[in-house]
Formats: sequence, structure tokens, C-alpha cells
Amino acid sequence: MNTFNKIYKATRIWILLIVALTLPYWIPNKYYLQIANLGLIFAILTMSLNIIAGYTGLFSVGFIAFFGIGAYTSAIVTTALGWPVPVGFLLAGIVSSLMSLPLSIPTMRLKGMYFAVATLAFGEIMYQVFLNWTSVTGGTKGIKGIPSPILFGTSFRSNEKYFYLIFAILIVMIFLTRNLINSRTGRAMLSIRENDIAAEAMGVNVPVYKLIAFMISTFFAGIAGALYAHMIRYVSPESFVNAESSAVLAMMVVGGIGSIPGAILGGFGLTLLPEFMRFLGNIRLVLYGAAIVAIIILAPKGLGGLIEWIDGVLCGKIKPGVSKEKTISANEEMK
Amino acid sequence: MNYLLQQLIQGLAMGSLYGLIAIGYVLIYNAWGVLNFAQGDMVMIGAFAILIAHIFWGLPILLAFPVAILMCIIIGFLIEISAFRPLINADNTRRLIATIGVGIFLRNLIRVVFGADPYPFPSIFGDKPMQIGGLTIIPQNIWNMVIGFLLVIALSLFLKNTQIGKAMRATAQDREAASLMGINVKRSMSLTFIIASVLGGFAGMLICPVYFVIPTLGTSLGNKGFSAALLGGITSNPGSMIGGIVLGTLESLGAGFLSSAFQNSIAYGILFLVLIFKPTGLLGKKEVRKV
Repeated sequence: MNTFNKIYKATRIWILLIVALTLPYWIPNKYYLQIANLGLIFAILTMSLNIIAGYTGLFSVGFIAFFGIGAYTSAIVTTALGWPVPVGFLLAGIVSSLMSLPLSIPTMRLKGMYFAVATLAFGEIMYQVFLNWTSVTGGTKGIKGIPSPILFGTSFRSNEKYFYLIFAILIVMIFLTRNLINSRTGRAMLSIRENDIAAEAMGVNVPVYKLIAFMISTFFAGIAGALYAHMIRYVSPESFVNAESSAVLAMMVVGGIGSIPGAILGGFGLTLLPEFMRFLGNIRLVLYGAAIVAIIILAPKGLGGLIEWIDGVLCGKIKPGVSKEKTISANEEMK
Repeated sequence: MNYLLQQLIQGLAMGSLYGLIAIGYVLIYNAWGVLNFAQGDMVMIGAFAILIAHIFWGLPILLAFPVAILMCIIIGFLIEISAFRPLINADNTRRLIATIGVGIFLRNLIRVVFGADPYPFPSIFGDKPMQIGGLTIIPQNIWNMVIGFLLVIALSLFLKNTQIGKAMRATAQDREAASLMGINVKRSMSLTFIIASVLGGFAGMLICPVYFVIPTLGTSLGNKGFSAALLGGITSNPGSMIGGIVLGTLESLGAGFLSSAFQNSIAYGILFLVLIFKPTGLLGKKEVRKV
């Protein structure tokens, strides 16, 4: 370990924080800032999907439904009922979390792909509800005029201020997720992912921990949905079609399953990628699809694994040139 | 009573197409151990293939079918070597996402080339309703059903009685043991993939007189096929045909008697219920797992 490695190791978190906090000031224009905000919202959503799909191993294909439930809850509560926005945020999380029960309780026995198809069915049904329950959700017209959040007397209407709101929630989410996976509950969840029968034999109450994982994860998905609704200030069913669920899944896997930096990179990166390729015109989404396949083939641990590797090299833990697979496993042993 | 029968026929016709799509999922799942989420987009590719051959190139329909099938074979093969073969030893989640990536790629490639506008396609077997015993029947529906069933029967005969078919089944059962028996595992996996792609494409060719041909044709059809496959219990081809028919019938009965706005919800709601009471699908066997 030389001096550079030491300086890097001591300052990396601060550099990252400063870069992130000054982002609204050096990003070229308002439009890109809004896309960056959207990227952060999807980073939060990807992290919450990670809790059930990444850590507990419950493969959910209809996850966007909870994002939608959160968005609609907060939108309805703040427009039709006129309640303050922070209450809307909280309710979005709670309602989304409660709505996960009709999915998680009956599907407790389902495994693997059978569970996946049940979540797909749930996502499809929720989409139909958003679309057809016109008296509450506004049907295809959606809900317009959703207010911007006002906290401590400041309005978060501008994209710059909204950025800090999302960023604060993201930081909270990072700390909670880290503490969760290192807690007893988190370890129980990981053991269910590795092998549910073995977990049960070790005394883990599998159904209860599945429920807990589901409720925590959908709570944050709901909050992410509320963040989305109050940023765009308009919700319509088209934002919550099932194809979006696969997009979030792709973010999780491209980032690296079960990795926090990976989930952020995946959510942020895959939202921004099509925008950066905008100059290519229509072909960009073709390349986006190809890029997903390429990352999965070329980076077995996802973008998160790649970043951990670069981080390891810069810290001097890993010598470049040694095969990547070996260094990553060595890195994990050191932890 | 007539109304009920008519809805049933409509459901059977749609259901046999769902079944065809579902069989594609099952074949690939058994051989490769992964659900191919690009299967729905193969349906779309099939629809565009017949559109190109029959409308753009002006080939007569009997010639257009083999040409379109050839296109599906080529595209299926390209997908297999580019996105499936490199990941053959990767874990399931990563492979699954790769198939989602392939789907996005195909959908948008077609949109770039042909635009997002819907193309109408003339009916192949006639769309003039016939009156049979008080029932109004559209010939296209009947033919779709007949062709769907014939294809499933042909497929099971092929898998049971030919050398290649047996090799494919052996590979699906146990890759390692099959390769020890001198079976060219790579080739049979390739072949399974191509057959699945062609079946999906064929469903697309049959469906395009009913729907408009658009790049997003495959997304909802793919989900229906996936659901039908699991409803039948992912392991068997006849099972997925039954799954498809159950799903199609429920959907059309739901639309006819309850509410057409909630057509999909009714079908998916019942799917949800079936899975709760029979967690491994209608014909699926209970899996015994060792720790």
C-alpha cells in the first residue's frame, strides 16, 4: 500500500459526497438534472427490489405495481383530500407495504418461477385497476396538478431542491439497507435466499421473514413512487406497465444482485444511458438492449462488482493483472 | 347458450395460440433452464416475417409461410449464439435479464426499421363469418385452433419417435448424462431453441390477421404465453397447451360475461388463484428437493 492508496482510501467517501452534493451546479442543463433525479428515484426503487429479489431470493416480476401504488396514494391524498405532501409520502409507503400482503401471504408456498408468475399477475391486475378505477385514479387521463412538497417553509418545486430531497432519502435508504443486511433479520433473509429448507431447519421462521422482507421492500418502493409522482406532478397508468418491472429487474442485475453500490449504479446508469445516447436517434433503444446483454456477458458481478474491483485496485488491496475472479473472491474473504 | 358457445370458441382459438407460445417457453426452459422473456418478441418477429414475405415481397401465402419460417430460424439461431450460448454456465437471474435485453433489442430494432405504425394484414383463411347451427363462426379462428393442435401433435411425435427428438429430450433431462451417451448436447440445445423460436414465430403468423402487426405485439402475448406455461406446470408440452386453452377461455368468458375492461385482470386473477391452490400448475409434478 503506497501513499496514493492511503490518501484515496481516506478521502474516497468525501470525494464521492462532494461530487454528488454539487451535482445540480455542474450538470449542463435543467433537463439533464431532471433525468438525474429520475435516475436517483430508480436507484431507490432498485435498492428496494434488491431487498426481496436480491437478498431474500424472491424473484418478483411485477414490482412496478408497488411503485405505482405509492405514486397514486400520494397523488390522491394530496390532490383530492388536500393533505400535506409529507403525509402523502408516509402514506404512500404504508399503503404500498399493506398492499403487499394480499400478494405475499397467499404466495408463501410458491417457489421460483411460479412465484414470479404470481407477481406478474399481481402487477397486471394493479395496472388494470389504475386504468379502470376511473373515479379514484382518473383512468387513462391520470391525475394532474400534484403539488410539490413543502418542508420547513421551503418549496421543493425546482429540480435543484428536489435533487437534495431525493438524495437525502437515498442516504437514509443506504444506511437502513446496510444495517438490515447485517442484522439478525438480514442474515435470516440471506439464509432463505441460499436455501429455504436449510434455513427452516436452522430455526429461521421462513414465512415471517419473507413477510418482513416484503413489507420493508414495498414500503420503500412506495416512497420512491411518491417521489416520482411529486417530481413529475402527474401520474398516469402508462408509467406502471409491466414492462417497467423488467426494466427495474434489469437495473438490479446489471448493477449486481445484492450489492448496494450496484443497485444505485444500475438504477442511475440504466435511466441515464438512453438519454446519453439521445444523439443517436431511434437506434438508442436498440443499443440499450444490446448494452444490457453485453454487460451481463462481460461483467459477471455487474457494474457494482466492477466498481468494487476498481475501488480495490485504488486502495491497493488488489493488484491489477491478477485474474479478476480471484481478486474479487480474495476481497470478499478479507471482509 | 349460443353466446356462451361463441365465447368458448373464441377462447379456444386464442387459447391454442397462447398454448403455442407457451410451448416455446417450456421447450427452452427444459433445455436451457431459463425462461426466455424474448419469446413474446419472437411472436412479433414471426408476424413481421410473414408481413415482409407476403405483403412487401408479394409472395403467395403458401410460399410466404416457408420463407417466414426460414427467417425465424435464422433470427432464433442468431439470438441463441449471441445471448444464450455465452451465458450457458451463468446463474439463472443473469440469463433471464439477458433475455429481457434481447427482447428490448428486437422490439426497438423492428421499430427503427418499420416504424411504430400498425400494419394491417389480410385474413389468410377468410374473415367472413359463417353461420353454423345458429353460431357465428370466423374461419380464421377455427383454422388457428386446428393448426395449433396439429403443431402440438407433430411436435410430440417428433420428440418421441425421431433420433433427434430423443436426443433433445435426453439433453433436457440431464445434460451431462446425455453428453456421456454420445449425444451432441450443443447441437440439440441449439435445435430446441430454434424449434421454440419457430413455434413462437408461427403463433405470430397465425395471429397477425386478428391483431395489427406492431413492434410491441409480443409484450402482452409473451406474458400470456408465460402465464399459460406456468399454469400448465412448465414441464410438459401438452400441459402448456392446456394452460393456454384455460387462460384463453377464461379471458373470453370474463370479457363476455363480466367486463371487457377487466378482461386481463380476470384471467390473471384466476391464474393467481390456481397457483395458490396448486403451486406447481395444473399438470406439474411436485418437486422433491434435497438440501
